[in-house]
Amino acid sequence: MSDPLDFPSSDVGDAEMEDATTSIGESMPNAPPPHQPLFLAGTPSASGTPSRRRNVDFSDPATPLSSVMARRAVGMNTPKRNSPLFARGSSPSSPIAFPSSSPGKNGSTPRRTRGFMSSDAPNDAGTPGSEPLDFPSSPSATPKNRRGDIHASLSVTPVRRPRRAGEGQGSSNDHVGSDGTHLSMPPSSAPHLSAPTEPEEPDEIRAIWGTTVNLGETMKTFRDFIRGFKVKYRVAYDRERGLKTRTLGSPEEGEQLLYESYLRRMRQIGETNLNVDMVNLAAYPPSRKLHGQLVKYPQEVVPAMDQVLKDLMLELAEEDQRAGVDGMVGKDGEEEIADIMSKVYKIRPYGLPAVNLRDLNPTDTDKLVCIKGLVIRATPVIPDMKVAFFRCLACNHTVQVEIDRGKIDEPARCPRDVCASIGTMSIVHNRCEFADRQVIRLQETPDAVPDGQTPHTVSLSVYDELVDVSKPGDRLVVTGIFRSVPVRVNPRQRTIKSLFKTFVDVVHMRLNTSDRLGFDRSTRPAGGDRIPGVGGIGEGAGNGEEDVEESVVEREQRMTKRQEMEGKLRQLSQRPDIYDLLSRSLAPSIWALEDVKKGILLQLFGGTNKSIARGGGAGGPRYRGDINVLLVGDPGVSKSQILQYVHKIAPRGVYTSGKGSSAVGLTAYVTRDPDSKQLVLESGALVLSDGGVCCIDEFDKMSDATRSVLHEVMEQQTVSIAKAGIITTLNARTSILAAANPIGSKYNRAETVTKNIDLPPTLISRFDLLYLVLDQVDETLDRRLAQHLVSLYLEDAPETGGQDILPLDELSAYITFARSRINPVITEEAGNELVRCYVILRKAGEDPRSNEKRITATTRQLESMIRLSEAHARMRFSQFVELQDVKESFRLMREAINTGARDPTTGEIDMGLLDTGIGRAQRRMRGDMRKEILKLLEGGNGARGLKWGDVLKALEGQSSIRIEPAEFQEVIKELEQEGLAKVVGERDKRMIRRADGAA
Amino acid sequence: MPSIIRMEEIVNPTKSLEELFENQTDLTDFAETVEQHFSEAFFEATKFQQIPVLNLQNPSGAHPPRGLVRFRGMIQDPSTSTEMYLLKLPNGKLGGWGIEHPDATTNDEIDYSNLRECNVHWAVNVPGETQWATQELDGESTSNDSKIQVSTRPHKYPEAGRDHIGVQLKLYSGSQNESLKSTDIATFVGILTSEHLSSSEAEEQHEVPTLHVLFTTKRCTEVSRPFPVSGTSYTSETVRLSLLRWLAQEALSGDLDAAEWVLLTAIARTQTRHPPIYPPSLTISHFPPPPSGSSSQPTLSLALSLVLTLAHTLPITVDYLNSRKFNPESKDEDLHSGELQLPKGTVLVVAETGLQEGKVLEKGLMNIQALQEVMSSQTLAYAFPFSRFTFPTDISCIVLCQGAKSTFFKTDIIVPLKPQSTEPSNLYKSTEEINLPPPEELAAFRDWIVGARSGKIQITEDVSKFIQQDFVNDRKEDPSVTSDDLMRRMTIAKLYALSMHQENLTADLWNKAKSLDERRRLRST
Repeated sequence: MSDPLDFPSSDVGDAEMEDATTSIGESMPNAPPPHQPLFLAGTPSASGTPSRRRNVDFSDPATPLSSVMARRAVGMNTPKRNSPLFARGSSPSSPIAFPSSSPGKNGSTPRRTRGFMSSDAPNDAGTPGSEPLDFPSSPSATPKNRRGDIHASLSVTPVRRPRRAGEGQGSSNDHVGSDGTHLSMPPSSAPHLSAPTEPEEPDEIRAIWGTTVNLGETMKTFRDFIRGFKVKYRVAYDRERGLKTRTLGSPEEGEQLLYESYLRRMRQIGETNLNVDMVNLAAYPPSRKLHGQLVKYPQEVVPAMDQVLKDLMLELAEEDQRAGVDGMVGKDGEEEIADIMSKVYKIRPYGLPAVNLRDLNPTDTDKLVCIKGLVIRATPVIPDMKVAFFRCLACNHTVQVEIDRGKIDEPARCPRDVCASIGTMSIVHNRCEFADRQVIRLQETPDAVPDGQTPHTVSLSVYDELVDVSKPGDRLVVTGIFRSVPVRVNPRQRTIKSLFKTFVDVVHMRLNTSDRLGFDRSTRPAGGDRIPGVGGIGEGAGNGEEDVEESVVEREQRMTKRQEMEGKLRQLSQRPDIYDLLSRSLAPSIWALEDVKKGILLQLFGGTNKSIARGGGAGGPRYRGDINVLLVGDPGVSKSQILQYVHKIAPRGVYTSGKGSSAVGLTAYVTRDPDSKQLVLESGALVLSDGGVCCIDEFDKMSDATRSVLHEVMEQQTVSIAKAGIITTLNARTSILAAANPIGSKYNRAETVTKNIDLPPTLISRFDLLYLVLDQVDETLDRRLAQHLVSLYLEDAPETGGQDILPLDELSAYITFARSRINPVITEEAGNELVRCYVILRKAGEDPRSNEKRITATTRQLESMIRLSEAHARMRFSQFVELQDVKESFRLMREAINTGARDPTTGEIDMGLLDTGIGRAQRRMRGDMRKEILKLLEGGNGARGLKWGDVLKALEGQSSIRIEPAEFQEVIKELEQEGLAKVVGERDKRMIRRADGAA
Repeated sequence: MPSIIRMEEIVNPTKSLEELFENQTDLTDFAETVEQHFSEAFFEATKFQQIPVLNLQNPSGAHPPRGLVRFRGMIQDPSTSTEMYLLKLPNGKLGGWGIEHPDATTNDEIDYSNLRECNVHWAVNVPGETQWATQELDGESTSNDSKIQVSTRPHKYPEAGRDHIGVQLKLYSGSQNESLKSTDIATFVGILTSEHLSSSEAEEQHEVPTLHVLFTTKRCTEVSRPFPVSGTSYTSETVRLSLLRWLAQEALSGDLDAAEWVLLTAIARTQTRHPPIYPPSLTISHFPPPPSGSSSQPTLSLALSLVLTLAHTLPITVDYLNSRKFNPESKDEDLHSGELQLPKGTVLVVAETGLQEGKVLEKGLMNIQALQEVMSSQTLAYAFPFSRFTFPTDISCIVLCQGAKSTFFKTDIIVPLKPQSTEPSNLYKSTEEINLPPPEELAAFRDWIVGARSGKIQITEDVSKFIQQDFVNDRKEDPSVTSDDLMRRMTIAKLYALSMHQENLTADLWNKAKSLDERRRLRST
């Protein structure tokens, strides 16, 4: 509720208003002299009607507003409007006067209000005129909690009283009061605060309407939970459910009061959101019932919990202050407490089992649900009107009206009895209150969509802190309240059809699900995925330090929830044949291709990303740990199938075909957003797969423009775009798995790889592993094949690949686990081995017969080998890269080099083929030719010059192989550059002459 | 007097629905009760036939508001989110099925336990359905030549720019929609109204025809014929031969072999997906371009649509490729149709003959890729934001091209056309110029071809041994024979057996099929 104190100050410019305030004292009680005793009664709060306020505060101590039941009653009794929203409007009176003393939406506890009311005079005397100075900007910290996600902020009011009744302790309030004396808070309020606390409303109706839930109980239970929950309960609970649990480090650890520590941290870092794991609610015996209540009646229970949270924040702060905790002594402590009072606290429950969003049905309406999905669209931040501010054009009386179920009731007439003009109330926009809102469309993820079905979509409404937390493309786990609202036939008509619209009001969201591979966290900006709140938010928690500390329960939860799976995975990892098992399980329908599968498997595990922490800018360069794999081979050898399979289990996997995709599809482009009409950057496959695997089929069919982008992606791991005036570099830290067909669709064994694929050598060399997948020609194989094919026509059941394989989800879980948990370090032994292997590869190029060198390995290969070794260690769940890892990676490298870099003319391995496209044999041939040409030029006619064609002919005569004119030209060009020869004339009349200077 | 009651259900379905509601005490499965009631009421074929048909001849304007209609449609967009409706309104009346109650106001207490779910799909009349099939399924149309309404949502129909019927379906019973997927065909019986689009949140909403489905049935959805044919005066062999002759004469310049290949392709269906046994794709090469001035629609398309139930033609030109969209794509949560969103069992003629030089843009390349994917893996990718979903298709493709092979597509079989006459205009005759066989013969053609499409083939152990041996022998003679050849031949042999209306593949049929393939190979070289 807007603070009246703010009212005059912000309205200074408004002469009319000023007039009004002075002339009509009653209706503008908050006029410059704010100490008017009447001001409470006349506060233009949402309730708007002073008479009712009075009614509430004086005549009915048991405030009818304090229960939903009562609220409804009031709603009906209110003569002017039948909307129940008035009920909640009554609360803000005191926050206006003492923003610091009014806790949240429930801020104005009746007790306090009453206390204040009765102390009007002393209060005024005590702090005449000082208040505006002290709290001039209080509206910004509006202590009224109006949670967008919990529509029924109306139910807030009823909640507050039972809490007091339930908790029944005056002591804390005393402290609030006493602190207050040192603060800017009016000292007079303190005694009044505590005085009437005890004897209140024992027989109030506290149940949630239509249920047996007792709100007082609920609040008390939650209070107990926060103050009493210990880690050990969770451990016991998990054990009860048959989950494996982590052994606690010490008995003290189990005794830790988890949520109290969270609350302290919230105070320290100024956080106002507390994430509450609902499993913990169920785990704590006294609050077990609360779990069910929270699921069924979040609308009522959540605000109650919010209130408890705020009370406890205060309580804890006072306790700490008394105990003299560091940072809470003296003035600091008071400031802290004042700060807490001015804040709105929210709990954000999570931890329900997620349901498929197409399974949401009418029975879930108004219940707490948890769904997963992919964000496909998010609106810009929408200012959501929370409180409308109306002013009477006739008498300048002002009224505030709160939003109710998405609409605002415009007052038809001036509520002031004296005025009561009809149709004079006009809205004053800049005095209305707004909150952030955003509508997100969440689509089912491909893995959740039943076979052959199209994905469904659901709307999410997110509010306040959760706005702009997620971006299109993110995967979310969302906890929220499922809503159904009637659809009007016509927005201007009151008639409704029987149709309802559904959406989810989000109370908690978490990025990324654990189903697929977790994306590499090092690829997300530090603090980039900011999800507000303290307390076990799981992945994406921005602050590293926080993460470590608070993961007690989170880790606990993860440990227990997936303990079984994890134990199983660990057990699996101990199997001696794990490597074979995993590679066999990868695309089991494709037989053979063992090494290819192994290479891809290691790609999925990936090496570790390294960045040099100290250095210029953002911590120096980052060395990629991503392994890139290229498959080249005949058509019909299941390359595409392998790619599709990888796409299925890969993190942020994107599958694209080089043929269809232009640079646009693979990178990013600038487009005009249909909603906002703004130019926005739309990500392409590579950016979307940041931190994942990008599978590119028909790599060779890709356009040159796209390919040039890939150069950057594969080494720098960024994508730069300059379009429509936007120049930016996007991260594309992705592994690339590509498949290419050879030129002419059939691989020519007599040619080198680079000649077989239509790809520049520079791009090929950026792949860590290159596999040739060729169609084997074999007689017995043919017979088996024929048998197999014919049998397909006879039998219905297709042959399965292997006997002992891991199911897809387990394989995926295994990889996820390894990727997220294991960051192996290279041991000294392994390091030495790496060096040794590298030297071996290098040496393989040395030829004792000649002094020229083939290039068999470059530093790129060394880097690849390191990455592969790391991936292999990860695959074994080993924290260290050991000898065996290096040996296997060396073997894989050698295999890949064997197939990819073998010179078909000599049969020798030559990395130069891949790096420059020129093999050693070719170089040697050129060398020989060069010698011969020089010899010819040395001869008698050298100085006069030889005819181009003659030289060529002469060489042909000497050579045992055909001389390619192109090769010849290359050699001549070289000689020319070196200044040994000179070419004169054009075309056929070209003459080659010995250069004068040449000796 | 049950028949009168049933007539009542046609005249005023809403009333019978409300009566049903009033007599119902337990509302938990009311939608299922409705479904059961109405499908039983119209169980008899004669009564079912009485339901007015919603089709191009009888568009939504030709029906009274809230009238009962049956609509044979293809599910175009099943991705619309579900809707909730109040089964029992605050005033105790029935809600849902588009029933409106102006007196029910917002402020009435809503009992949320009465909320039910309903699925919203978008359906269009079956694309590619041939005229005779429509007539057979809908009955003789009482063409009340009412103005064809221009659909307000042309992007929801695969054949862009064609007149069509698009209907928003509301499926109330849970069992109705479980099985409905994109491109599925079914007959929907329900109450026809006009309503806003369920999903759109746009301000300027227009009303669309909306069918509140009472029950869904497969009846009157597909033309079916027995396999093998029985009890006709024609033997399958003679029918086959005369069909081949007719097709060759009318549409293929007298080339009998080419006609045989066309027919084999036309009766092919997807057998299984694991392992993948798809209909073979066929290219008829050296197909003369249309003479200037005449229509570019090859007579083959017209002839096929006289005997097939689902046939569609894509006239491929550079412009066409660049301007059309082949893949369905979800834009702003509205699934736009693509040219290839065709029902299962469609025979697609891809006429490349009108192709001229030009630049194929990115969109065109995507389209080529999409069609190629349909040919080689019988899948079509639908583009959704941040994800692509591939859906199975069952479309047999016949490509007609001028050159030795198709400019864009790789097909399993290429048959060069050997025209008997040199007059290319014979290949581009209009419908009126086609010489129709006598009606009973045409009916026999249809029986034969529709029956063959539904047939199943057995291969005995002996024959499979024979085939294996044959393959090994072939390889001994000619090492260039590959496993691809074996697979192709097996596919052809099965289709050949089907085309003979035989239930077993015999060695004799195998040899005949093989020689057909041999003749084709000789032609190509």
